Amino acid sequence: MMKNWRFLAGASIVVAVMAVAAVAPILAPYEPNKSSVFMLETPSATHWLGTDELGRDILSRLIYGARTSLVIGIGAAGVALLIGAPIGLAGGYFRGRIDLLIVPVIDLFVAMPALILALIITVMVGPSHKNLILVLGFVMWPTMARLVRGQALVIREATYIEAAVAAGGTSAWIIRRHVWPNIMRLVAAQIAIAVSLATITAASLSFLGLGIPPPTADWGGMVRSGFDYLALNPAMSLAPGAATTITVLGFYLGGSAVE
Amino acid sequence: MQQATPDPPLLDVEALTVCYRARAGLVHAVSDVSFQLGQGETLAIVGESGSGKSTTGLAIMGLLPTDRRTIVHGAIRLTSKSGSVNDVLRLADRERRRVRGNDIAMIFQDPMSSLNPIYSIGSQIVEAVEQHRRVARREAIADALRLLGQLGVPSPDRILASYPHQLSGGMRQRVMIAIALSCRPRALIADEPTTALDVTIQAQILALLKRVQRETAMAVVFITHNLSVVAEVADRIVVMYAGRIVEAGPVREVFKSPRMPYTRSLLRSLPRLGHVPRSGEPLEAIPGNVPSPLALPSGCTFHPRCPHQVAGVCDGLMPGLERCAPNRLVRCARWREID
Repeated sequence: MMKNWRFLAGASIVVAVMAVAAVAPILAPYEPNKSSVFMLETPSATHWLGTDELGRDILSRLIYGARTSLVIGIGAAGVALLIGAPIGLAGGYFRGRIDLLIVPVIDLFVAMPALILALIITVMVGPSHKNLILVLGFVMWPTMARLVRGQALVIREATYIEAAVAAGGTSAWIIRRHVWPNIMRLVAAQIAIAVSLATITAASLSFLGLGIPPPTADWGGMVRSGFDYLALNPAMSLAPGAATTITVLGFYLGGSAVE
Repeated sequence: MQQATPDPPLLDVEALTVCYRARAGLVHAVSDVSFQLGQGETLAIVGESGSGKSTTGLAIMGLLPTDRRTIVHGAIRLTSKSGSVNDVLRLADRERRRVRGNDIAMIFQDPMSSLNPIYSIGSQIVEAVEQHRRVARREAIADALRLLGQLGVPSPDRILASYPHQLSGGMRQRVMIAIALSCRPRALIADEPTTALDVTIQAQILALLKRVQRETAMAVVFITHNLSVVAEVADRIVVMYAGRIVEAGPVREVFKSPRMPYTRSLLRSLPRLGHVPRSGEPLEAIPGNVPSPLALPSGCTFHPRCPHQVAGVCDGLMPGLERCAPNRLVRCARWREID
């Protein structure tokens, strides 16, 4: 329970970011995509963080960017779970040939740097909201599968699993009812970590120009466009950069607090 | 063709052999084990660790691994509730699942880990009931309450709402028994059900099993290494050594006049109540260890440890299982001579 503070800190950050995303229209002083003639203004009372090269209010875009970030992060983690959990469960519970097939595939994926892989696939399929979620999920499923498989391997040896078999349960039923629920706690933690990973990878891709297509407000893209004007208005890059860092940290702390 | 024979035994194990292919060679876990069990009867399978008694129990439940490394021969015929006789070893998965829990149930040694820690006791009993019987949830809960009541559990409703970690070992084993009995099986395999419990709780659980058995005419296979437990619960006893049956018969007779030297040594190694040992008198122990199943001795597998062994007789051929009394079997080349 020494890790309690980590969980609390992480959870508070996540909740805060989610709250900002939820009430973005109320919180944001301007329309995030509305340009004006006041381009590249430095921070002032009317534009707290200044405006970008198209005259859009940076604070408003930062607030709306939370939505994009969360959708991509959570969506990608969800895809990773959807692919990884069944594969991991199958390998860990049934072992044998299925497992012999699964393990090298997982190892292969885990050995490849996620960002590079995501980059290559994105170049092939083209950047879009949907593609980004799918690509990131696809890159991250092996980590999820590996965790689930390892846990399933442990749980399947428990006497209550043998007892469930002895009671006449089908494999599918035993997995659903006895194996999966015992793994879920760790999976939840892994999801949080996956969200943080997806968020940062998505930001990196955006920074490289392969992320969310404009004009959607997204932090990675904002860091990229602010990069050219660092001397003029550092907040243009630093604010979305900090937002990304804090969000990633929140999910990561929350996830890693659960052993 | 229908023959006018008496009812077939409830459980008929015939020439059961279980081998594992290991890297070092073929491991014979169980060799040529046969026994029958009638309704309401209790059979104790006794042996040291590694004697094949638990493997026999798992085979009856159809719980042995089904990979290529496990070789199973023989037949395990079980008369189901519907009256049909099935060979458990040759059932399709679907039918095997129908038999498990329904016709034959099992309780395990360790009640600590045989319950899933994340579900309440109630939901685990209800789930066992729902596995084989189409009943409404409320009915299943009522059933669970009645079962726990029958098993002498105080305030069953409170137990139903508890989680495994909140219960004592004895209580958990009662819950396991309730789960095993929930579908009213015709036979129960009890694999060392009291080994992990305190002696006083042990006695309670044994008495409980006996009572339930009397009420339901259920057959019980009691797997144990504890001879005092055998004396308490079983009608017949099968003694196993290194995967084979070495002696079988009614408990009273075997206990009174064991024929196989191994059984004799086992019985003599029990501390006896009322027998005051002279100071310094050691408790008798069987010298040596159970042989490794990879390197079984030639001839009688017990002969290296046997006080009656005779070179040229005991180390030559494996003696067969002989009938030494109307309902008793013994595997010893010299059983006629030693007394």
